[in-house]
Amino acid sequence: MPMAFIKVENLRKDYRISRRSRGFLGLLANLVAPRYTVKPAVDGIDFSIDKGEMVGFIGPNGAGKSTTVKILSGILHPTSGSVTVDGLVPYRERKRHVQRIGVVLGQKSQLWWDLPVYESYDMLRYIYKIDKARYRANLAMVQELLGLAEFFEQPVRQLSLGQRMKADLGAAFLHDPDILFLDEPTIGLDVVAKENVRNFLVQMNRERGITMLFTTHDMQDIEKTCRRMIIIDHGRKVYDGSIRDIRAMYSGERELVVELAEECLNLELEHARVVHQDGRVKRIKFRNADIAVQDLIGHLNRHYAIADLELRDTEIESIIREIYRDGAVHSAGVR
Amino acid sequence: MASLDGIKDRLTLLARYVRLTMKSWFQYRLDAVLRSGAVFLRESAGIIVIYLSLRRFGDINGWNMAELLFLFSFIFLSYGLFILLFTGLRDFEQLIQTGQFDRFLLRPRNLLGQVIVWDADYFAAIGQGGLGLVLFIGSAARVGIDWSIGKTLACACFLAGAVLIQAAIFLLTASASFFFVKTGNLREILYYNARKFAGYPISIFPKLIQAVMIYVVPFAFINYFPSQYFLGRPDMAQYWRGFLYLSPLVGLGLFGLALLAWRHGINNYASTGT
Amino acid sequence: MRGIVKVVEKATGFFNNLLGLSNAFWLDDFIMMRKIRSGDIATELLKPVSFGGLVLAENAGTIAFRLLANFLPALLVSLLYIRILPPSSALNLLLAVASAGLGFLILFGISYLVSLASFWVVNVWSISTIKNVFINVFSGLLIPMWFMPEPVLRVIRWTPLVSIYHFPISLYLGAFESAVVWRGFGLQLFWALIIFSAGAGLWRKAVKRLVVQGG
Ligand SMILES: Nc1ncnc2c1ncn2[C@@H]1O[C@H](COP(=O)(O)OP(=O)(O)OP(=O)(O)O)[C@@H](O)[C@H]1O
Ligand SMILES: [Mg+2]
Repeated sequence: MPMAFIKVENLRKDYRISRRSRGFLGLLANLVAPRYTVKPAVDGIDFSIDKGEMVGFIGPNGAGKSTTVKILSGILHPTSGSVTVDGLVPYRERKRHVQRIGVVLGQKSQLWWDLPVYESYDMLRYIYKIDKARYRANLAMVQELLGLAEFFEQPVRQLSLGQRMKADLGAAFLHDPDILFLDEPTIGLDVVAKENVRNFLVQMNRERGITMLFTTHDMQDIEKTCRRMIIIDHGRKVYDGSIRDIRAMYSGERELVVELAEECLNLELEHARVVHQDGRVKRIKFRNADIAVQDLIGHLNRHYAIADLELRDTEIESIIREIYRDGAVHSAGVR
Repeated sequence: MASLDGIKDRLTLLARYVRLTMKSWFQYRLDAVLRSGAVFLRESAGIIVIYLSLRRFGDINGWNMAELLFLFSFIFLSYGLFILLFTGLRDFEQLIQTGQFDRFLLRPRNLLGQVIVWDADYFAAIGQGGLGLVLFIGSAARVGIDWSIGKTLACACFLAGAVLIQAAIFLLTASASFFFVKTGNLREILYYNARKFAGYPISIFPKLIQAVMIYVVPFAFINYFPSQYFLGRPDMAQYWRGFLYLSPLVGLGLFGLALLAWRHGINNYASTGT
Repeated sequence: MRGIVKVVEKATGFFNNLLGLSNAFWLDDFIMMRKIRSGDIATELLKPVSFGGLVLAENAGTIAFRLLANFLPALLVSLLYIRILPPSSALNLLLAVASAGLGFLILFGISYLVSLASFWVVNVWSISTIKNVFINVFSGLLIPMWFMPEPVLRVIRWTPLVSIYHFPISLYLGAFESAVVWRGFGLQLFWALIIFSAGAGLWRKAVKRLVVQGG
C-alpha cells in the first residue's frame, strides 16, 4: 500500500492570547513577563488523504478549519503533532512545498488590486518560474473553463465578487499544483457562480488528479463535489468518511412547512410531528429513517388541501446541524 | 547556491516587480506626481525654517549655511535611496495587519526579498532623493570639495552605509511587528525623532544625545561623520577619527543584527500566527 | 538689553499661543475621501442639508471642545507660571476672540477645499500635505513672521495665511491702531467670503461629477 499523500497525526495548535494588563505598570509587567491564555484551536486531529482524493473539510465557525489549512500550507507551525504532505513537512521546507500546492482563500485575493487580471497572472509566472509553454497551456485552459476572457483586462478592484473569485481560482492552477487547499472559495457567490466553481473543481480533480481539501459552509458544495468529508468541531475530528455513510449513521431530523388551504386544528400524522403552528401554517418534523419525504407529502395531500409546501433543509444539512449541535453539547461537557 | 542562473532569475523577478509597481502607480498618474511634489515641499519646509533662522544667527557651532545644507543632503539622498530599495520595510506593519504576509509565505520565494520589493513608493523616493540631490549639488560646490576618484568612491560607500543603517532600523521595527500589533510609536522614536536631531551637527547636543546618536541609533553615521570626512570642521576633534570611515561597516553590522531579529520574528509569527 | 529680553519673552509667549491654537484648530482633511471610498457619500447626498454645513458643524463642535479642554487651561497655566503676556486689554481680548473665530473659518474653508479634491484624485494626502506646508511656513507657525525676508512678507501680508493665526494673536498681544485692526478684519472677511464661495462652487461641480460618473 502506498504511503498516504497527506498525513496528519495528532495535530495540535494552541494560540496564545496575550492578556494585557492596563496602565503603565501593567505595560511594563507585560514586557517583562507576558501573560497568556492558551486557546487550543486544533486539538489532536488525525487524518490521511490519498493522492487524487477530493475531501470536504467542514465544521462550525471557529472549529479550527482555517488553522488546519494554514498548517497544511506551511504558514503556521503546529504546536505538536506531525504533518507531511507528499513527503515534505510544510513548515520546514516551505519553498519546495509551496511550489507544489495551490491555496485559494475566499476572503483574501492574491491578485494585485490596482492592476488588470492578466498582469497578476504574468507576475505569478515569474514568481513560480513557470515555463512559457506550460504557462500558455494552463492559461488557455483556465480562461476557457472559468470564462475569464470577459474581464481579463479589467483591474481587480473593479471585478464583481464572483469574477474575482474565478480569477483567483484560475491563478492557483497556473503552476500545475499537485494539491489544492481551498478555504471557503464559494463564499458570497450566487447560485450560478457556485455551480461554475464546483464544476471546475471537479473537472480539475478528475482530469489532472489534483488532490483537494475543500472548506466551506455550503453543504451543497460538498455534496456535489466530494465523496468523502471530514467534520471537525472545537478542534477535534467528529466524522471522517463518505457522505453516503453519514446518511446511514445519522438520520437527521428534517423540517417540512405546510400551508393548508383551510383551517385545521389537529393534523393527524404518523412518524412525524407538528412542532409549531401559526394559523394554517404548520411546521412538521420527521426523520428519513421513519418516513420518506414523498410518503409524508402523499399522506398530507390525501387528507388535506395544501396551499403551499416547503422542505426546509436538504438531508445532509439537517445531519450536519445535528452533529454541530451535539458536538457542541458534548465538548461543553468536557471543558 | 547562488548560481548564475539563480542570479539571473532573481534579477528578472526584481525587474518584473518594479514594472508591476510602476504600472500600479501609473493607474493614478496625477496622484503619483503630486506625491513627489508634496514630499519634496514637506521636507523643504524644515530646510526653509533652518535657512531663515540661520540668516539671523549666522552659523551653528562653526557650520555655515552651505555646510549645514551639505549635512542635510546626506539624510535626504540616503533616505530616498532607502525608499527606492526597501519601501516594504517602512510599511511592513500593514502587511501583517492586512494578512498579506500570509500570501508571501505561500510563494516559493525568499520572504525578505518579497517584502522589500512590495509596493515600492517610488514617487516619495523621488521627492526625498530629489531634494537631497538639489541640496547636495547646491552645497557641494560651495563648501569647497575638490572631487577626486577616491572621494567620489568614499561618498558612494558612505551613502551605501547610510542606506543600510536606515534599512536596519526599519528591519528591526518590522521584526517588532511580529510581536506587537502597533509599532508606529517605535518607528517614531527610533527613526523619525532621531532624524530631526540629525539635521544639526551632533556636537551642539548634550553628551547623552550625542552618545545615543553614535552608539544606539547611529544616525551620526548617516550624515554627520560622512559630512565631516569632506568638511573637516573643528568640532570633529572631540570624536575618534576612525568614525569618519566607519559608516559602511556600521551599516553592515547593524543590518546583520537586524536580520537576526527578523529570523526570530518569523519563527515567532509561524508559531503564533498573530 | 532689557528691550531684547522683552522681545524674546514676547516671542516665546506668542509661539506658545500659536502652537496651542493650531493644535486646537486641527482639521481632518480626509473625511470626504473616506466617505467616497466607503460609498457613504451617496447617503450624504440624500440628506436635506448642505454637506459643507454638516462638516463645519461637526468640526466646530470638536474644536470648541478642544479649545475649552486643552487650549484654555494651557493658556491659563502659562499665564500663571511661565508668565507669558496677558492680553493687553479687555477690548483686545474680545477682538482677538472674534478674529480667531474668523481665522478658524478661513482655515476650515481651505481644509474643505482640499477634502473636496478627493472627487478628482484618489488620495488627497499630497494636496493636504502641500497645504499644510504653506500654512505652517507662511502663517508664522514654524518661524516668526519677522524672520521672513521683506519681499516675502510683502506678498504674504495679503494672503489668507496671515489671517489664520497671526492676526488674532497679534490682537491678543498688543494694541493696534484702529486702521490696522479694521484692515485686518476686512481682510479676514474678504478671504472667508472668497474661500466659502469657492467651496460652494467646487461642491456643486463635485456633485455633478458624482451624478454623471456614478462615483
Ligand atoms: N491568530 C489567532 N490568534 C488567536 N486565536 C485565533 C487566531 N486565529 C484563530 N483563532 C481562534 O482559533 C479558533 C479556530 O479558528 P479558525 O479560524 O481555524 O476557525 P474556522 O474553523 O476556520 O472557522 P470559520 O468557519 O469561522 O472560518 C477560533 O476559536 C479562533 O478564535
Ligand atoms: Mg475559517
